[in-house]
Amino acid sequence: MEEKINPPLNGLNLNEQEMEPLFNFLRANVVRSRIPMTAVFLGINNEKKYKEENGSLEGKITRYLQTVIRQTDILVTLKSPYQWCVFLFQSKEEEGKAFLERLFYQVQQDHESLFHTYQLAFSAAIIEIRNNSVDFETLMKIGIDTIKNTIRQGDWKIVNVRDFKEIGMETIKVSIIESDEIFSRILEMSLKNLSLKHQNLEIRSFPDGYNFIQSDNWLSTSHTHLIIMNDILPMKTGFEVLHMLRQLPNNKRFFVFMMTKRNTEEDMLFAFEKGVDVYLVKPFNIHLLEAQVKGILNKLWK
Amino acid sequence: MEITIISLMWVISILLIIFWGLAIYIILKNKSNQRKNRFIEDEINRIVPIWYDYLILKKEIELDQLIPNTKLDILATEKTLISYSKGLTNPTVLEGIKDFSNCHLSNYYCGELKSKKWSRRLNALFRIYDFRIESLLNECKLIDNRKGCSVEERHQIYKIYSRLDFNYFKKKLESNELLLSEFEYIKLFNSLSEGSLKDLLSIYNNLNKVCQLSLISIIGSKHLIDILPFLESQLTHEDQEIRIRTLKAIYESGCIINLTVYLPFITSASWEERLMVTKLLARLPIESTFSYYQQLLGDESWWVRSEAAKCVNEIKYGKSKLQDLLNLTSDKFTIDMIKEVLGKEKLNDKF
Repeated sequence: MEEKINPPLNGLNLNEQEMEPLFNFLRANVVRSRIPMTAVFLGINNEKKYKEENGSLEGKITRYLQTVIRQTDILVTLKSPYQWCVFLFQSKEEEGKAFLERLFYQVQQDHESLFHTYQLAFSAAIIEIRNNSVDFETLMKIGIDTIKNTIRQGDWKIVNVRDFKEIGMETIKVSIIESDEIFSRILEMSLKNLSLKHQNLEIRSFPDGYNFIQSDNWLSTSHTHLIIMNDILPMKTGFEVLHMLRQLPNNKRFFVFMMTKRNTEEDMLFAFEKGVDVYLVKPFNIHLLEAQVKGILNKLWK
Repeated sequence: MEITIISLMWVISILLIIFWGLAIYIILKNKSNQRKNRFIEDEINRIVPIWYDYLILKKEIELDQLIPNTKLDILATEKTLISYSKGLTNPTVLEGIKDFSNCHLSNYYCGELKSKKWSRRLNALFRIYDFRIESLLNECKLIDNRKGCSVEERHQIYKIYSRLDFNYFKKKLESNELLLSEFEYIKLFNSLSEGSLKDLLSIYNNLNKVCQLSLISIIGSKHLIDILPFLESQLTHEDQEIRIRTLKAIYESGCIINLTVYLPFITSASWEERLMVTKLLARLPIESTFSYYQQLLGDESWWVRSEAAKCVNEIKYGKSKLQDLLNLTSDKFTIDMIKEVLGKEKLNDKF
């Protein structure tokens, strides 16, 4: 007789109490890493009926859910009966939706499963978290309330809650290192005029590389920092500044725009090898610089 | 004795007066310069944001607030517009500066062109080029035709022709009136657009040799791939320097080459031509070029051998080809060169 192999259990299975401190830790990480997480609330229809009929059914569904989540996900069994929350890390609501569609399809196709036997149907709510304004208790309350409403709307329904999707305002430092004071002001005005949704630019201009390097308090903070500099500068050249920046810890927070009159492929290759992120051959269209700054800032959030 | 002392006293007094006079003059001059610089700085601070609104944000503004009335105003405007025109390529910026300069700065620069001072004339020529002041083109032509026109002025005037009257520029180049060094020709051509460079090819045969070489070099450095047929036509030129420069330009342009056109250079008498073709072969798959590389690895010139080994080493699967050849060949030069390249590689890996 062929032995039935149970599929492996993935991720973690916690209760609400165990999840709360972990949630606080993960929520802080969402803002720091700029990668959202998504909470997927799941509930089943007419749960009272199943409670009376079979007490171990909830345990079986929990076990089943643990086989369909990823190793990096956490399944939380909620206090309310027949309700669960799956935390999907580094995932947006689109991934949450894809997970649910996969789960619903799998359940509906398997005619031998307990879902078929008991005529169970899921309903779900997806909450993407991109800021740290939400606490665990509020999240649970909103999630449970939404799932109750969704169940009332019918089987296999999915509702998105977008209360915590809004990204908080972030300060981005911008250093313009340019010896031509007038051009430096033009760049500053251009950046100040940029309409940015989630970022607030703090701009400072420096006439040379040395002055910039000496600005310890300005440089040493952990903010994302855009450096827009010329390659030829008095005191310290652009490449000397670049070398110094790339030696600093957490140097990935610096995005270096190198403005130069050198336009050969060799010059560009050299600059990119040294760690330049954007190479701008002077003269250039100021709207190109603006678009590149916007592009980099938009990509900060995954 | 007494007379001598009195005379000496007089001399000292006069010298003291001159000294004090000079000192007071220098102090006053310095103060005046400082005042002027401060004024210019303040004026720049006032007009830079207005120019930004006008040129970049395309806002409707009262132009009166930008029109310079005094020489200091003009200096402030000049400094501001230089930064805009040399740093930015936005069409609105270039057009705005051009229109404004033709209307409100041309009189000033026309006067400067008539100055007896060479530096002031040259400065005016630079600004005519930067701000595209077409209304002063005829004045520039007059200076060009004048006997006392210096080489620097004429060079700058040619740059003005190239930007403001390209047909006249072509005629001037054809006439070979101005004989520049290769460096100066390259500087001149460097500011030309892709279209203008292609246009210059129509008069290529009438240009002097230095000018031809410069044109070939600039075509290569600007990666004008669609000019490859013209460059390839120059490969049969009788002048060796032109052939070498053309090979270099084709290499720099980054084109994929048709092998048959370049095969004769593998056996060329000139090591420079063999070197350039060695570099060009690296653009093709190693399967089709390795037999030629084998030949070049045993070349009599160290530069060619070294380049061939370096190229093969950098091509995909080239390293194993070199290793195989090392085991098979008995040519001393080839063995040395392969060992050198592979040895260097190992050393680099170590560190």
